[in-house]
Amino acid sequence: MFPAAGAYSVPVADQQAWLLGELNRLTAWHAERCPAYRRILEAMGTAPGPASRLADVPFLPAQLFKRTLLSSVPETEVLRQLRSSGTTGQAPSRIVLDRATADRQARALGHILHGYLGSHRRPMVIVDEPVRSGAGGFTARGAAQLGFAPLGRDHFYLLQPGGAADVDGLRTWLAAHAGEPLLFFGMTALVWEHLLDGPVARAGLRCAHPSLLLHGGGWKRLAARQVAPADFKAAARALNLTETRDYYGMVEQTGSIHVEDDDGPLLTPHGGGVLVRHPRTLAPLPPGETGLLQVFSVLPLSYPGHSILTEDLGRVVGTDDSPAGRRGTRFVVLGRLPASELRGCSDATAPAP
Amino acid sequence: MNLLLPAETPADERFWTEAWPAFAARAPLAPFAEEALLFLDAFAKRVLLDPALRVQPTFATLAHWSRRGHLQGYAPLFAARPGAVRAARGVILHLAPANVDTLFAYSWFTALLCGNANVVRVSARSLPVIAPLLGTLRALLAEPAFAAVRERTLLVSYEHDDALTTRLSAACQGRLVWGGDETVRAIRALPLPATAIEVAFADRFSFAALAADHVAGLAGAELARLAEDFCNDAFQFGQKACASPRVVVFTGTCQACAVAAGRFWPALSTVVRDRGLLFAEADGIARLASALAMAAAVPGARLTVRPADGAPPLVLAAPTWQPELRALHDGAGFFAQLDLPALASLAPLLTPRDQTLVAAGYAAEELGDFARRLPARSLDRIVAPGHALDFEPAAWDGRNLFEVLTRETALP
Repeated sequence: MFPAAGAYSVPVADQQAWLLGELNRLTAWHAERCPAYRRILEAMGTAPGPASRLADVPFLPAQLFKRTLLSSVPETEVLRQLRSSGTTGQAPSRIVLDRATADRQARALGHILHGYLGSHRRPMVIVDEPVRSGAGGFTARGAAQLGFAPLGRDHFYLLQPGGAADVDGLRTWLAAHAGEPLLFFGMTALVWEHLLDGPVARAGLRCAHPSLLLHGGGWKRLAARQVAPADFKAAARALNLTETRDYYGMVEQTGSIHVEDDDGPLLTPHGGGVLVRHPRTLAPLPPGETGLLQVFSVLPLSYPGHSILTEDLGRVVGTDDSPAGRRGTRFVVLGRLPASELRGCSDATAPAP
Repeated sequence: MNLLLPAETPADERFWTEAWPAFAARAPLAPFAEEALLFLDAFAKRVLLDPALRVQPTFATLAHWSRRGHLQGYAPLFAARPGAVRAARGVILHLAPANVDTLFAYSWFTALLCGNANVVRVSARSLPVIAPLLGTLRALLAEPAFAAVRERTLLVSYEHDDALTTRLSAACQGRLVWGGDETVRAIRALPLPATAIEVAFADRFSFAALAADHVAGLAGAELARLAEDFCNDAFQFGQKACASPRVVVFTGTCQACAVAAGRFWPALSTVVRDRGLLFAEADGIARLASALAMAAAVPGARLTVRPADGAPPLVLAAPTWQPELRALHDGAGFFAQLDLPALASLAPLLTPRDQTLVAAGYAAEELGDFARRLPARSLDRIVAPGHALDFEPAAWDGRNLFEVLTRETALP
């Protein structure tokens, strides 16, 4: 699962053959342990036995996790529950993690980011408040922070309770860590608002050494403000964040992230994969065509999330053709599937929260 | 708050100090007043003569409903009991749903026929759809002939605002709340004058029952007609209307049900395709997720109809009744199917949540027997295919709205 040569070391043809075997094992694993998942497979008329190609691995729509709790472990084994933030008016996704799955997620994330960070743990700025576990478990944002924090050391949390950036604190911290490259991490919108286009940039703070910024989450808020990725990168360079990498991931597949390659496209890791489906018929589409992204992950043991149909549109742009020599499927995300126009008696006039 | 009718203006301070008190104090019209009938009939004619409006099935249906020829049938319902006088209540506040686009008009027109002055709050989300209707209504209300209606009409739009709803409620003798359970709960918490009435329409659920032998025996054209009627019932509001069927029950022997389902669903698919009812791609995903969420909870359920082109219907057949089949899903063309030996077997499964049964292929006595066996408060209406969405103010959710929206003064 974690090749010593790295998360981008195996050519796609070989990686996908291995991936198919792992996914088939997971389908059988969850069918045995999650009665609801078994009923879904039966209802869909899924042929018993292993799928012979990735496109035949059964998939669940991501929003199913908003509608029903799917767990493959007894309640006593649940280590924590993750919740997506959820769009307005929708229930959040609920994902149950056991110890084994959480460990796999942490290892996978470390394995992937080793390719960008090396084995040396850098001092780390987290563009957020320290995560708290709410009554209902962790949010996707909190889960991401928990996952990424161990990749750095001497953490500085930029946001104070209430959401304001601690600029003076950061100045002091930067001075104390002026001798080495740093790691910055945060949700794309927060990074823009507080760091690149916010009080930190206005205060003229810079990293002494060229440093790395990792950011994930939607571009929707930035796109609404007409901020293009090139603007984002340019603003980052002003802080001496010479390397910025976006990543694509979701609470349903924590740990299995797709990181931005040197020239822009996202790259599947060894333990993951991507397939594009026609948005209406859901038939698999050949590389180059735009459709709904289906993502694979070999990590989830505690919930049947190894094959998920997202509501994100995207396109595969290449395989094993990274300018940096990384192996994997390269793809781009092109935004969300436009929302439904349908309205109904029952949900129409629900009061604003 | 924005005023949309009788004219399009923001509600400024002058509105609240001058227009609003005058509106609230205005005497109502008589029930079934000629002014109201004239206005509604003129509206119907405008819509039916306007090619851009009448092509919208929901607008055309509303217009037909508003014709004098149709409304005249309600005249006897406005007669007072002997020894009493029937009068309007006064000012009625309507909180219309965003979904069933034309419901704001049915609610308003019904109360107008009763003689009331009306404040109708429509959701901003429905404005793009109803804008053409509002244009027509605005032009009509500007005509001198309809001054009596104009003075008794306020159509407004505002984001959820408890203070504003409370302010409007304070002047009302009645409040009609259309919406889901959540809306009803939220609005009920807002004060209303002690003497005012409130009618709330909660989340409801609807079924169709098809006699298997009947469906199996239909000639091709009759089957197509059934499918078209059913399509109207289910899809006029994207299966989002409370009265649109979500569970389809076939009644008969197992074999007959299989034959009937094997004829009915493909016939419906044909209508859907002929009419180009593809829905948005996001609806297709929601439809599948609804079906799988239900499948997760119902042992033995099978997706038996799943057209390869991604069009509806998507059908999940359940081996036995499970309460999960009543889940309020996203609609958009997803149906649960249940086979039962007879219509009578459906009666004990129904609850107060269940509103409409679209029934096809049953004799009148069988339907009567069935209706008498129903559990308390379940099913407000049994209708023929094609009539699930008919607005019937004399019997809506089990109530006669003409009675609710008027009052009687007893004479000595």
